[in-house]
Amino acid sequence: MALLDIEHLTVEFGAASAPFRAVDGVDLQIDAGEVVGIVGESGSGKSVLSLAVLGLVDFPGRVAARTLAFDGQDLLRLSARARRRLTGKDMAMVFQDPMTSLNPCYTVGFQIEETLRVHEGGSRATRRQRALDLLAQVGIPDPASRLRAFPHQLSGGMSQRVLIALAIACNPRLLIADEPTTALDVTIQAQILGLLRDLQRQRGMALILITHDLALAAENCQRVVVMYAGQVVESGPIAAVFAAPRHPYTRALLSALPESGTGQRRLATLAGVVPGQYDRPSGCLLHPRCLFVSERCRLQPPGLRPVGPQRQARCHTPLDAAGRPTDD
Amino acid sequence: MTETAPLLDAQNLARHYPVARGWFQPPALVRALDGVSFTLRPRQTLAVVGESGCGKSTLARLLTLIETPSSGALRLRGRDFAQASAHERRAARCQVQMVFQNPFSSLNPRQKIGAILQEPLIVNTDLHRRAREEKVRSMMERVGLRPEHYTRYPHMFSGGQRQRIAIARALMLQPPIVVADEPVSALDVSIQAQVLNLLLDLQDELGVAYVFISHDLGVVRHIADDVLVMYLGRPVEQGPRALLFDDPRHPYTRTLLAAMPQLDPTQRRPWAPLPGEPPSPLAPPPGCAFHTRCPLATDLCRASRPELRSVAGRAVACHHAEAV
Repeated sequence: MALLDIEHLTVEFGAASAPFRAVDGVDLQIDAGEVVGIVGESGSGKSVLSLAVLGLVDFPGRVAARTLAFDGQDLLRLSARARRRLTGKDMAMVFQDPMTSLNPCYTVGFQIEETLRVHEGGSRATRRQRALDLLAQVGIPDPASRLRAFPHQLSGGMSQRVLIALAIACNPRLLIADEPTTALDVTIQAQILGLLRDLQRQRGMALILITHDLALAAENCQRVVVMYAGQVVESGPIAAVFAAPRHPYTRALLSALPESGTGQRRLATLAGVVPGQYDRPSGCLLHPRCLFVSERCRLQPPGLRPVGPQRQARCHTPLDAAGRPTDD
Repeated sequence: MTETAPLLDAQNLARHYPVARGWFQPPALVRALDGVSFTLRPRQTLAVVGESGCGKSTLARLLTLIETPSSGALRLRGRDFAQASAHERRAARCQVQMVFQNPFSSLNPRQKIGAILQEPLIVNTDLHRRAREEKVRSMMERVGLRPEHYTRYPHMFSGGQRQRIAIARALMLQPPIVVADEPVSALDVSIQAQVLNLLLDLQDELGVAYVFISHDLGVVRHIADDVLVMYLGRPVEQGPRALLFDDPRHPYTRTLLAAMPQLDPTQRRPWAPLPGEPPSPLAPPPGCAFHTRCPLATDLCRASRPELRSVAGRAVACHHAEAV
């Protein structure tokens, strides 16, 4: 059984009569110990999806799902209290901006110990010792003195390590990392991802890596989920998906990378932007930007369907290996 | 002046800032930038690469004549502006314009696009209102904005569109040089490609030279002619793009390239990730500033600072450049 089982998850904001669907019918299964990448442009619903899983979508937002289960427990039926016990303990998250995710008023040690106190209890001395171990584990030099440091005394890389220490403090079985390295330099990015992967392997955690950097996902994930305007448009084993994308959106993202344009002066582009609340098109949500659009795409929304071994794509005419649309 | 004479010629540019350390201590000196030399020709793109705190943005502030260098020469079309008077610098600023990193904070939210784009003309020229509007409209067309955008506010645009507006503003005075400080790092890949294409098209049409500051080596590889890699305020490797990317000679350049994530598994480079973080510019290590993180450091590196020297067609500041 999958560790995290999501079926038809929808998150809506705004008036019930004209809601904006930030996440629109997402299906996702994550097995224990798996590393899954979620990629897509900004506005594609990646972050809202992870907040919904953790139960952090606030009041005006409405979360609905056919199934939203973690380790067999239905998260939507749990009491708020029971849900809080799960969030931060069995499911944890590393946020994008390390400089604003820590509370500036408390020391690093206090914040780690607070998490431990809420979820695991224990004496003050054991908590302090555990906080010390955690900081050492995430590779912070001189952890004893860092426990007394305030967030503003740490660099971006150090703060991100502290956030990771906080997230793994209670040995989570699922860790969601939302753009964990976007605010950091490349050399620090390599360190942080190395650290996340080491922890994931040692502890057998499932890791969801949310990123807009396709190459970063390619290097670190086994499976990839490509999202567009709140929907999953393609998923599958990452090497296969990136080698021969079946969905025009995945293909367009890949060919827009400067790496793919070697030798050419101009890069392939994807005109337009992700649709927002008021300009959601009919039919396939990508059709105003798609290179291979047909009449059917304008009228009829395509469903997600199998397009190869463990692969799915949401397209009427999925691309073949040479990047041409196929008719079915 | 011939077409290939340098537009911009920087020699040993340095900028040092005194930093107060307390009441009873003398101020410390931060060498934010030290010993940077390069030349820029028309239609050329120089990329400046390095981690945060390496002096990239200080360099941008010097080149745009916002700050004066502590020492060194900065020649714009042959004239040295390093020690020029405020008045002369102000007049010369039309020639070096800037595109900033974050298009969400670099446009005034209370001004319409037309007013934003007219502002450089109001400040620096004595064109009439009608002539200004005409210029603005033709520039908008050139960067791919529609005529009706003239009366809209910045919040009505997406990040990519805003960066187009910022680029249009930088080009209003037809400067020969544009300094772009991480112009695409806040944008999604698909939009990033559009903005890069626009920058390249404008270079072809108008012949502008770019100083392109970036930490994204994929982008740099695509757009740059020459690359300048900096570490803790000093250039560590400098030369033509192809040489630096295919055969880096400084261990830091090498690490940066290896740290760049690769889509293609066969392209990944076996070079261990760099330990630690850049040292504080307040207390730079003796010898080579990079020795604290360098896998090849020897006693020589800890004792004496390597100067830039010419190795295999580029300039490198490393004692062991031949061995890397």
